[in-house]
Amino acid sequence: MEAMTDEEFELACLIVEAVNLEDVRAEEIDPNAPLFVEGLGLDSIDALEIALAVSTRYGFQMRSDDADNRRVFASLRNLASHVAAHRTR
Amino acid sequence: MSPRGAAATEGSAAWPAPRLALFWGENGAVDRSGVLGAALSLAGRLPEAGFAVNLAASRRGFLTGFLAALARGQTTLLPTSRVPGEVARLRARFPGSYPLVEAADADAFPDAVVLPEAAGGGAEAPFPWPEPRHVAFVAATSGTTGEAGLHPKRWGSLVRGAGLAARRFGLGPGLGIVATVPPQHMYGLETSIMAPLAAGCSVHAGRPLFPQDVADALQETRTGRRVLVTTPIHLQGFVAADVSWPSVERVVSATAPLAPGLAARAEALFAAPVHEIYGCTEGGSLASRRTVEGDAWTLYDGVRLERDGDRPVFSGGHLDGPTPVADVLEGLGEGHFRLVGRHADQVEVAGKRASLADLNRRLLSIEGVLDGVFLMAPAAGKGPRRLAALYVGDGIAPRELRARLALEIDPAFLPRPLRRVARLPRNELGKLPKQALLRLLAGEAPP
Repeated sequence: MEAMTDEEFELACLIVEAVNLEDVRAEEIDPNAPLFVEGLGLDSIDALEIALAVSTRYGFQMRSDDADNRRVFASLRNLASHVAAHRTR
Repeated sequence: MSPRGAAATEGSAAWPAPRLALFWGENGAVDRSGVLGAALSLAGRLPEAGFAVNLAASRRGFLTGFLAALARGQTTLLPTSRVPGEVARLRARFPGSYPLVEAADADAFPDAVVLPEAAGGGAEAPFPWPEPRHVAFVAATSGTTGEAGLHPKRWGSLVRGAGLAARRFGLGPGLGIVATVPPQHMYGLETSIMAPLAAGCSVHAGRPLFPQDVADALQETRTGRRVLVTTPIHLQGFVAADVSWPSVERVVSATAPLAPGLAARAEALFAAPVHEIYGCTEGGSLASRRTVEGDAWTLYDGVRLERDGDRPVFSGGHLDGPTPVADVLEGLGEGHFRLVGRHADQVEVAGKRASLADLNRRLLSIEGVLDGVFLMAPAAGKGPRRLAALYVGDGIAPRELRARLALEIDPAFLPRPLRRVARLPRNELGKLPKQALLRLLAGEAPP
């Protein structure tokens, strides 16, 4: 498992809190593993929760209406770079 | 506009005209003729089979696949979930059935027929609409025994049901629907597939999920007349999001009880009435209510509620025959009733009986509670098994909520523990799997 950047760790903490993953620690998330189904077993409702937390913390609204959605949620790393590209705070 | 009695079909005055828009979004608007044309050319590529499992997530994909199967005289199977294990179990009961998927899911289902990405030209041949008796869908439900229950849905009944929903909610040409529920669920099927087909409204082609997507999809409605079809869990997300919403004519919610407090916040957010639908997989949508006005349900036009011994039985309306339901209903006369509970939900604590649905309703009616659920806690030590409850709501602390509940319910049913959580583990239909609740309860319990 690769090391996490500080930004990825911050985002991992946000996800663990947003979806109430009490048995998962942020530092244990593999930055390259899928967040949904195979990895943390998240579903579309979790995606909704994560999007809300992201918009509150980083000041932009996530969208899923493009084919990018799968790529963005494919891993913590991808989500972190999506956040880095869109954040306003 | 809305067929009543016999099912309307193409060519009858009640059937929507071919040039009406059926979809918008993604690549602009597509009219009915374009969708039927795409379905007819897909129909030619479908295998010789009786049953297709339609796994499309987008409205456009689902409707194109469904219409293609219909044109071939095939029946579409609706799985309880799109997870591969569930799909495999359903297919095993329908030998020779095949999956229909969108390109993005093709890897997970190697023997599937992949749905086309774009709509075709206009339909060159008339579409072969089926006889009313044709079984258009078989809906699966998770049974208590582990084997799915199977519920056939006939074309005539579906078209009549769409007509009744259209009357109740004012759906018709010029109105656009944005739906956040999967088309495979009966509620999603009726509101976002059958209503557009039979009543002439249009539907957003994609699968909007995040609040901004849903707001954008609503904004893109070409006529500015919009209805949002959603669930309590999505509404919770919408009221929490910092997004500006276009005006809508109506919000419709189903799949789980909607807390009156959340309904009121949603009415303020969308500046529109929020209606809940009462229904079940066996009978489809049967009644509705505006949640902020009280707990009485109003039957759809022509639907009757009678009684067979203890069991409520629905008939008339779109139903092909008497349809018993497992719920405990109290008739209020003049086409109204109250949901008292569900037989499957009866719980017993220290010799007293209660309905979980009723307890949940009481929990949800307390100010500050946005979502909540009672469940039977696992046996622990001596004494009777107790109920536990989980709730969502920053506005009310557990101690305060317990005091409020003590005024409403028998002490035997007061939850131990009563725990506040950030969210309930609702699945994408808004339902609460028992195992997920127990895990949430166990995970938070002190060691």
